[in-house]
Amino acid sequence: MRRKWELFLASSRMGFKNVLADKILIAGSFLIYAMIVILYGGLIKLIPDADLAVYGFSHAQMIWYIGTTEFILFTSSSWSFKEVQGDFTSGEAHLRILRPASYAFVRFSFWSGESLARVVILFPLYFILIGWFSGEFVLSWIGFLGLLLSMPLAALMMNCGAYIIGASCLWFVQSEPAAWIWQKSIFLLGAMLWPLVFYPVWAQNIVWMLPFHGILAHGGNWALDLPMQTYVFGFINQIIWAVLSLWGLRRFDRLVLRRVQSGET
Amino acid sequence: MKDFLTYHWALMRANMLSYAPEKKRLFIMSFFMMVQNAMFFVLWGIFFGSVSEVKGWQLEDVARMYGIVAFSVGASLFFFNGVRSIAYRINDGTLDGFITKPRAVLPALLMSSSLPASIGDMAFAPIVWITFGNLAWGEVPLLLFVSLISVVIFLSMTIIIFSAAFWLKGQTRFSEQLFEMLIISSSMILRGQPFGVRLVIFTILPAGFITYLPTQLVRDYDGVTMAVLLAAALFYAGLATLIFKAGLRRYSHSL
Repeated sequence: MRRKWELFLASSRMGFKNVLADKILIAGSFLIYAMIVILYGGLIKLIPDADLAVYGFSHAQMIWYIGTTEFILFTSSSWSFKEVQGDFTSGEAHLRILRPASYAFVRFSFWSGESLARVVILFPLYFILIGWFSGEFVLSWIGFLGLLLSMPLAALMMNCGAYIIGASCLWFVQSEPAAWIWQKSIFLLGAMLWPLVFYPVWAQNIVWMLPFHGILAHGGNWALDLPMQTYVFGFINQIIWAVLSLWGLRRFDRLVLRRVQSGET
Repeated sequence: MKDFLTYHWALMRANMLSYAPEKKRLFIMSFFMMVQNAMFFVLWGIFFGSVSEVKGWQLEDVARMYGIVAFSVGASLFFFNGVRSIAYRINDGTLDGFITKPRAVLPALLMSSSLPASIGDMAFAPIVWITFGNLAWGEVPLLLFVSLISVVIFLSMTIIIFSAAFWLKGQTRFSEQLFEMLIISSSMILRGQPFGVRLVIFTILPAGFITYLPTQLVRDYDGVTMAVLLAAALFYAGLATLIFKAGLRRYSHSL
């Protein structure tokens, strides 16, 4: 266990440094993030007051919601699955599998370090940008703490998903179609742009049964004034899906190993 | 001219023939591209389920806009996917192979590959137009025409974005990020945005010309706006050519 922890720390450190080393890339990420927030925030400001009053939300809360869900999304890179796919198609992963450490575990740890670096760099910018653009800080102290607790779990789920999708190229010709659907599922079922209460009730019920609520919507909800039970259930839901994601990654890694060993790739 | 057309027709045919042994892959990629487009469009459906209108825009306007951007991206990458390889070719030196040929570099480079998934984008456009666009038959020729202009502007801007690698060597991901920004901003309701945003979307990220003005033209046609759109297409096409040529000169001198 101790050896695994040390391996996790070492790989995370590498991931952390990897993000810090590419300053233009992180600047590009912030530019995209800022553009999305300004465009969607501008759109939210145009929503008639009466339409938002139905849900009891203010424009500022809506801007914080979308700014937060987008921020969580940006803690994981959208192209990480390609790194895994590239490693499998080039045969690089086969060499890594020979090592005593699990390839999936090393990748996951590396991405965890990358996610942490993105949070450290982008969090102050996120806070200032959304605060400035919405004109107020709607996050309470509890909301702030809740968001800090939600983010690592969301990043964990996204990173597990990225590995599984990247390695799916062992069964399918390419991972891209699966990645597109995964990404759009996060957008749509994670309620990335509009809070879940905008969805029809039947859709809300489906979303609660899937991991995507825990990835984005739960984090974004901290910007809204929702009943306390929504946050409690959201947190329980997030923890359950985070554990299931880790379990799924472990199981999937065994399948990957068997697939590679069988030589059918 | 005849020689030019024959050569590029042959390139296009070669791209199409490359799909022949991979029909299953072509179908899967296209199908999933359509599915992901549809999933994103559902978000707008949900939005307009709760919001009555945004500065007069409703779901049918978004459907028209979304179809235009899908068509622009799809057509650009189906016929000219080589544009996305510019940054990589600059970095790994494979651009040399194009420079040494006795042909114009840019067209050959643009047509050096085709993206199979982009058929899904192109096919999605008529589906969303017909299903949600609430189009009258008389509007269809205008919609197709403005969509073609949109292709020109989108492709020109993509050339500019990937040509940035002539100056920013080793930063291929940065060009990809700018490309993402172009697509994201083009898929957005731009009506009623503040002055600062309008300044950006009509200059450095011309999403305003790629989707907003074409959609507005189909909604309320006027000759001046059409002239502006045509002028923008000419301007960005000229600018893309100039920037690529300047970059190529810089690249050739560094050899």
